Amino acid sequence: MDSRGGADPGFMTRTIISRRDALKQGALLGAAVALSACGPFARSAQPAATPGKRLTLSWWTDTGYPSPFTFSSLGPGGVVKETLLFDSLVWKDSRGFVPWLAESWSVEDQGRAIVFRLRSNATWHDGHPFTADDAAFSFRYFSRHPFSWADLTPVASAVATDSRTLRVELPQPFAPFLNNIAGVLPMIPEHIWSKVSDPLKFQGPEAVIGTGPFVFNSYTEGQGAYLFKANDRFFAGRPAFRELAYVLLPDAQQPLALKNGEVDSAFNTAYDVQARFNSGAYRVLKTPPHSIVRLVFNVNRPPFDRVEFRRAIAFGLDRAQIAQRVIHGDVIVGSPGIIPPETPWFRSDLRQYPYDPARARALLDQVGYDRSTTVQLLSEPDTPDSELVRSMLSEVGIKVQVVTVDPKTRSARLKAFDYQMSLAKHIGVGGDPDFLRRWYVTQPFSAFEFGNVMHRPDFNALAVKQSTETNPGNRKAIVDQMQGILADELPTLALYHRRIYLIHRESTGAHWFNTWGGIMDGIPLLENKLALVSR
Amino acid sequence: MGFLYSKTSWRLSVDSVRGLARYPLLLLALFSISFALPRMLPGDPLQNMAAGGGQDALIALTPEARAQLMAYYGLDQPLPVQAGRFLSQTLHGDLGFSISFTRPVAALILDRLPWTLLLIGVGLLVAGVLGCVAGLWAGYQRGRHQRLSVALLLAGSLPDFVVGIVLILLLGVMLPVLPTSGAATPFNACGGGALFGCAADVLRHAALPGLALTVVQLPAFFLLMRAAALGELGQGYIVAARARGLRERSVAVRHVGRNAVLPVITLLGLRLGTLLGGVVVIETLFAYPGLGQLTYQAALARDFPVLQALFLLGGIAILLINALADLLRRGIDPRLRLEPAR
Repeated sequence: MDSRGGADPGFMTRTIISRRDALKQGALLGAAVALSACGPFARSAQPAATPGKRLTLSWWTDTGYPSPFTFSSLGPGGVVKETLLFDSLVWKDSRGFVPWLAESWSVEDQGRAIVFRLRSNATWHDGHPFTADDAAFSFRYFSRHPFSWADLTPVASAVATDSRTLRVELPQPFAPFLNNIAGVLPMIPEHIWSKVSDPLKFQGPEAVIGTGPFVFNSYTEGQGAYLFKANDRFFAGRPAFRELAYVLLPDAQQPLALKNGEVDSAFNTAYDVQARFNSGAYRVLKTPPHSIVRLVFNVNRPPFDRVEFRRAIAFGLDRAQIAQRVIHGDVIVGSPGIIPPETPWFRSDLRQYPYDPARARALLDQVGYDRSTTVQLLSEPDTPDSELVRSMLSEVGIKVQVVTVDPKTRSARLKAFDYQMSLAKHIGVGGDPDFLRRWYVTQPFSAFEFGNVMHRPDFNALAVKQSTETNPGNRKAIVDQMQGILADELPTLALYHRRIYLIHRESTGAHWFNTWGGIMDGIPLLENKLALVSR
Repeated sequence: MGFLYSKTSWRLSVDSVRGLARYPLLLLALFSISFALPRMLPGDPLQNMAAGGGQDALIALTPEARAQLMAYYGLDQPLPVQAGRFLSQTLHGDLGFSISFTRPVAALILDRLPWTLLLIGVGLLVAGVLGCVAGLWAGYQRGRHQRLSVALLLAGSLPDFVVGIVLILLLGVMLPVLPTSGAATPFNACGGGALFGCAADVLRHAALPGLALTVVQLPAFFLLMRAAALGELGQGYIVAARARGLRERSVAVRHVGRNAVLPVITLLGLRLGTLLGGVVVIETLFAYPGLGQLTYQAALARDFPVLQALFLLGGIAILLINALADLLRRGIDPRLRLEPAR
């Protein structure tokens, strides 16, 4: 992440600022309801176009038919493919938001309206022009048929005021609007979808017509094989590859397949595996530590209802050692404020919990902990972290029983608060900090949000306030306070933050880069379409 | 004799009718189990949208969206209503719509079925033929060459996934001669009408999972055939056959083999259930897109429509195969034709 990101996580000071102004001011934070207008791609890496060439990427599950309604919701693999066929109003490069289907935008009515000026040269894959009516229709259609990656609850209406202008009205300002909605929601063609009443069952060539840099060619169900072709009509440049292919490979087999020349990239979270590739014909793109491994405590149940007990666990765990044993290097000990380092929202001056067994024992004595009792740690299979936690905690006098269940069972128990502590590994903490509000204030969206609970009304008030605060500096200050409360209360303990290593063949000509705040909202993958397009 | 024959025929008919009458009851039980089993698992199809591999991601399944999807899939209805809908749809040839794959279940199963048939076919055929031949040979050895029996006994006791991993390491990594995942090379081998190249590619991809299934299945066939052959070799009709001057090969194949293979055919029907279980493990390990992998994925996703259809069809397949094995045994052994059907 560049220094701008850390300096000023927001930009909400004028109605419209130019891109150059934004650069000068270091106003990056893409989280606020913002404004910026400028030509795209200036900040992104430029891949060399190699006509006739195929780029082959890999993913470890079949992510379904890539229409906005039918791609698999199991992980980010489906939605990332969808972004290669469909576009949103804004997009992100390595340093923040860039204009995309909207060439500029402005905020009106104290943040309650955002007016987008749309491009005039964007066309759908079938040749129809993209208009403001399509954009307004998309908002209306997705409010009836939800898009699984964007919550449109904060949107009151979306209206086309002329063929190139879209006005989106909100009942109240929503700071993450660009990040969570305008940069995520795919625009779909009205001339096709207006006739579709059941989008889940609408599959076929028309269901995958977007404006994106690639055109759908084929998908083989079960084999997870996708073939996209370059869109020669793409509005924002020329696709750098004539074909983009995806093949299904178990993650453990990806490095071998890369070595055998079957794919052009591989995905890994182990430091030692990527280290073997970072030379010669291969390069490794190291993402910011947007993936987190943490313990979730059920603060409603003794002994976890005592903050001293939760702190004893934190002092009793050598978290650096756990990370070292699991990922074998590049250790980043978890921030007690949850938001990881190398993101603009990270706060470093928090209460810390270094490994200190004596202090852990003292805290256990303080709360009168009965060392003959056993606490349960809910865990998924194949997580060595759980055994390490069990072993370390037993040394300070906390007996732990590791209960291994499948992901569905775990989330069912978390949702019902039928647990004492649970191990969670997930992404989604490197984007907009509004995720903290969803964890603790509103109803949870997804599996890893289940089980989060904390009884601090001041935190809840701050969480709601940051979501409507459109001044970036003020919002950062609120988010800092929230991290302070999290570090004191420890409703969850971040064990360590993980990078994802994207190993790729250098000769492909693709210039991969890390997307600011992750693709869309915190997805630490390399398939940003800007890396696949040359101007 | 005539009286006895007609009495036997009459008993046969009555028993056959009784046997057939059991099938609707069995189907009803099968239907109930298929419906109930997925719903006994903790969690529901819309509760968890996790990728596995520690890369769960944020899905905006708001309470409103969740309620909408629950209604769409009929999951908000009481269980008896859901069961009635499943029964009615199934009787009309509609297996429902997959929640996690967003496709009609029937289409999903039809797409995956050929891959599993190929694997099971290869696995059973090779294991059955090799097991029978080797078992017959070992029976003839009467206790000599025990090493083969011990080795196969050990191989048979290994879990499917261990056999699969060892094969991946040996033939996919150390000596990389066979593909370790998938059912075909994407985009290449099967395009442009290159039928031979396509078939060769498909067989190459099926080789490792097929071999894993064979290794797991073969010992059971071998050991049973060996024991049955040993039993037959002590029978008086074998002595009589030899006394008549029949060649040993003829004795082995037409007399010992034919009689010893009967329990193996029974085993074939019985093994189908365990084979389907083995296919789940093997297909998942090799990322092979058959019904086994589909079962695993649907179970993880709690995809009720897919699971209930797979359980129902799997159960029907086992019933059919057992009925077929019964017919086959009767075809091979004339004595069984005089026994009442059970």
